Amino acid sequence: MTYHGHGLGRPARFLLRSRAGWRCFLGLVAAGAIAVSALPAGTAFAGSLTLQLSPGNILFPDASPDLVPVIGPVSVLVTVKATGRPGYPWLLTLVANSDLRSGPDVIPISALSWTASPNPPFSGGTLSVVTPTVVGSGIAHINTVARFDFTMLNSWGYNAGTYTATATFTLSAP
Amino acid sequence: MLRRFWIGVALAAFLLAPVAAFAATDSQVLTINATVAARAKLVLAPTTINFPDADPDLVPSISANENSVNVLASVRTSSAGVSTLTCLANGNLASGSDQIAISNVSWTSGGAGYLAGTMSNALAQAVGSWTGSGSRVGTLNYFLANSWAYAPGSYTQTVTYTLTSP
Repeated sequence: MTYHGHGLGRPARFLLRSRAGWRCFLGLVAAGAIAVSALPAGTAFAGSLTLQLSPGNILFPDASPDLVPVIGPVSVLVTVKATGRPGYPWLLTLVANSDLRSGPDVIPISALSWTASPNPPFSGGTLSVVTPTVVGSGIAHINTVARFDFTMLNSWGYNAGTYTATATFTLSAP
Repeated sequence: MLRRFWIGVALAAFLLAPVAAFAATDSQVLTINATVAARAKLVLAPTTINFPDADPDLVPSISANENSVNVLASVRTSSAGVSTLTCLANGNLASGSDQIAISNVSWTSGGAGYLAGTMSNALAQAVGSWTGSGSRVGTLNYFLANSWAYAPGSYTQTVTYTLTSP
């Protein structure tokens, strides 16, 4: 396309091509906007996940530190189901949300440890409030009930009281 | 031109389509409870001490053969709870009808919270005091004041130690 009305010649041709280019570009942007809005909101391509705990509450009973230096085990069954993308990992982590507390008195959450089965893909460790611990991992799919046996170090140094804390299991898969 | 336009549309749709979220997570919370009850435990070793015979002029204070006696006082209580260790003799040292006043027996102590003292069969004597939970190790060394006035004999008596925590 050329324009000679004002004798602009070559520059005018460049300008007119640019205008045409802008219209084309705008069309592309509009098409892109349409393409974006055409996707349903919250579209996700992840597989399905199921995580269940049984029980959801555990209790370490009182015991003489001389006779029972380690209290437990107290068992939790963890149902883990993940249908992930082939070749991509699923991950199960555990992190405590605080130390054990009874009013102002504290028992460090690191006094609690666990063993897990089946091992692998699940593994044991010590509770932490700082860093989530990877307690299970695998590739693509998992459908099993894992057993976590928790124990607590006993001590004469604990003040009398009823202590509580929570810990979060998180299952993730891409 | 129109063909180029629709090619552009297709290309834009591919390039500008949002990256869908591929990650999914599920979380469950485990509640953890622990019960810690008040309790107390006292260990003495050995549980029998003997004062040998000695010349009062040369040995005015007789040390028990078994010194030091080891003590372990373990308590669980509140953070501000005060626990105490006391001793009360069940009578004077006796050999038949002869007696040596139990107040002639005294002790020194070692270890945080442990106290020295003199035996009594009338009033419990303080041996130790602590605040809060813990297991406290200490030592007790026993001495008998010697005297020419003691009648010959084999004297004996028992002493009850009591550890109390609120």
